[in-house]
Amino acid sequence: MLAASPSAPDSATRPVPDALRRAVQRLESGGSARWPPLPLGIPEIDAALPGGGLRRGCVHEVGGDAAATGFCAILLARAGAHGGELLWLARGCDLYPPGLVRYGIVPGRLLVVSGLRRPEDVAWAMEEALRSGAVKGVVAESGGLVGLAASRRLMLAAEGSDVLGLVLSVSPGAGAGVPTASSRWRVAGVPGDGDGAAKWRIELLRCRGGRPAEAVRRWCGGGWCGAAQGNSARGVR
Amino acid sequence: MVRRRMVRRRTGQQRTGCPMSAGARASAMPRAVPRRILAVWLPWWPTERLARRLPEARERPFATVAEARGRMVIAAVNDRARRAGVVGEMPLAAARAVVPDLVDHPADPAVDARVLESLARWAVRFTPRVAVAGPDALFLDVGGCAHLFGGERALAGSLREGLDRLGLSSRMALAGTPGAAWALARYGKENPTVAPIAAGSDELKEVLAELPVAALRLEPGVVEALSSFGLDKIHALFDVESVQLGKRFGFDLPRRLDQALGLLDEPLVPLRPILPREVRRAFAEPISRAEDVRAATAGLLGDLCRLLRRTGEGARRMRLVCCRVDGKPQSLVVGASRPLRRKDLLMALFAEKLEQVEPGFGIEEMALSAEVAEPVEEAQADWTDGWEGGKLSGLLDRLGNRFGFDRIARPTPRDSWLPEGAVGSGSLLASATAATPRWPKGRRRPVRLLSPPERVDVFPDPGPGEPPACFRRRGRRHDVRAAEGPERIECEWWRQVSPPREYYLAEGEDGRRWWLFREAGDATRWFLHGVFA
Repeated sequence: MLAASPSAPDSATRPVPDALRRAVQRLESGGSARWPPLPLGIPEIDAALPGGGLRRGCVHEVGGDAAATGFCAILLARAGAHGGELLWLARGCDLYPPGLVRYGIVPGRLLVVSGLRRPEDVAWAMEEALRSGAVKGVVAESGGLVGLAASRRLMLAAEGSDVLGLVLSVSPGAGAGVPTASSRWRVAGVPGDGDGAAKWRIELLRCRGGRPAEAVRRWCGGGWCGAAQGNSARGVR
Repeated sequence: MVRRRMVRRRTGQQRTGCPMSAGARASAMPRAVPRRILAVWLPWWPTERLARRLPEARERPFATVAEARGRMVIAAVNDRARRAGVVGEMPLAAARAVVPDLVDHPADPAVDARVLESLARWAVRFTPRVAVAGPDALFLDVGGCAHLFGGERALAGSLREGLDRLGLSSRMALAGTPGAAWALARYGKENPTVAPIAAGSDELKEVLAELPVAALRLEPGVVEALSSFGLDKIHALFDVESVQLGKRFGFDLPRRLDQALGLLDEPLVPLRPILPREVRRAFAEPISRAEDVRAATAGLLGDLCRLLRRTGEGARRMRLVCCRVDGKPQSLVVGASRPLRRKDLLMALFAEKLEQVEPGFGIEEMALSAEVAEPVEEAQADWTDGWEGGKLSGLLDRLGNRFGFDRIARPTPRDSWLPEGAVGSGSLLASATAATPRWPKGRRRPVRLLSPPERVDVFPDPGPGEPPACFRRRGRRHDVRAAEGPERIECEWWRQVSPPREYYLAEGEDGRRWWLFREAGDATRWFLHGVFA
């Protein structure tokens, strides 16, 4: 009894900031807070994301080398974990679905539109996919900068739906592809442990309502493993 | 008196059958027009049918033969063979002994019956109610329509003309009952025999009296048994009580006699007009539960939709007829504002109406017909038949119309060892199920596959079975830190002849991972085939 009394005012005041935080999040995230966020499964990154995961109903941007393709596949598979169609808008014809199976993409659930060379085609197709709500997730490979107007359209199309939108910047050094992206990531391969498993440095560069974070993880079949070294949250800015 | 009572009881027992048969319907309602049945007997039906395409069946002694008890027996003969002495059921060898130049042809009763039915459909021009009677006769219910042809004799005359043109000999008779008409067509003195007598009258009895008992459509055994008692003519049967006749010769005999005399109703089962947009289901057990009726309707709708899809039509008005055990038909009519052939939409139309069905003691047959059908525009039926309210089909439609449908694919596993051949495209709208095949899980595959493989220089050549140490691609040197392999993939000899490949997963110093293969041909060549994530 005596021990509980000092903590009593603490527990009484605590719910207020939580509720406030949630309200702010809801304001910041538009209507997308209706659906639970998609956790990545990496604690230090999930902690940095608002709500503990990637928000649906908005557009995220992923850059980097070939590892970014695998990372997008993982996110896409998580978006469609409870059924639903997935869409991949590919620039070229080099996407190889048997390689995506390792990252959780079930064959037969993924629809691929290939040969979308022009950025405006990609933006149009992605907007259609986000607006229709017929798919659970869409990856758009973007070769260049999406204009501010198109970017804003994507954001509006995604709002209010439960579709996870991902823009994959395939060409290196493309920089900020989508100005209105809800979060921006960079994923690059790092020298592995010699067992052939992928090892990536995953950087959350920017996130609305969250903070930057970074982790190095290996992807072994069904999940992450081995928080070996160099994984540290950069802390609150 | 005895017969009267028996007749009444038998009529009570008689099953009316499905009420869709016009004969049964005619028997249920009071008949304003006296019944007039025209029986047409085609004495040479099987051979004359064949003579239409085989001239020798007309010009020479001809017989159809069937196998019976291990030997060939004459089934039917033509007039020439008959006159030469060949009769039915004679062994073919015996017939050849009588007529050496007899032409034989295998008998096919099924085709005979089928062609007879099409002849009956031809005869529908005289009356809507035409029935097939046995293997070689037709009944035409001409009551109420003979005057359209200038009387009964004129009708029979024009029917005979038509049959003559088809090369068919015929004998006809008109009477008040099918039994009497049949008897007179076969054994009457005139052709056509017109018996202007009402059914059940004494005059009809007199007309039939002198005919042989075989005129009553009896089994051959019964006729033989009757003749052994000296009962050769029908009048001989009038004096015997029907119970006694039935006891001794089977109850078929008094029934046939009463039917011929008109004391017992004999409904005809006329051919139904061909309604191609009709499906029916008969049930082993009569159904009466609402959910059974609903399920049967859903099944019928599925059948009907398939039928309509074949003709490219949709139903505007449909009629569902439920035949009850007690013979009372129940029919529901459902209309639609536009031609429909989607089962779920049609079922929604029937949903409320089905409550009106009163199954009574049970429904033994259900028939669904599209009474009014109209062509449906084939506007991408596959796309709109999708799921999720057509959201996906709508999206694919938009994407496909802008970029071309050949650019959209649903990658599915294909049975091929070669990496470039392992991806096929499934149906765009059919999502994955548990039965969807999987790519083999144990093998590492890149996320990007270069097509065609890119030539790279590996130096020095490590030799067979050894991973590369470094390679040069596009003028840039990549050192290999670690490598996994080789995975040997033999080329499919039935497709193309090319050397086997040895694949390596090679990891560079910067953490990038490549899929390299060594082609062990005459000259060793290295290729970059893909990039791992």
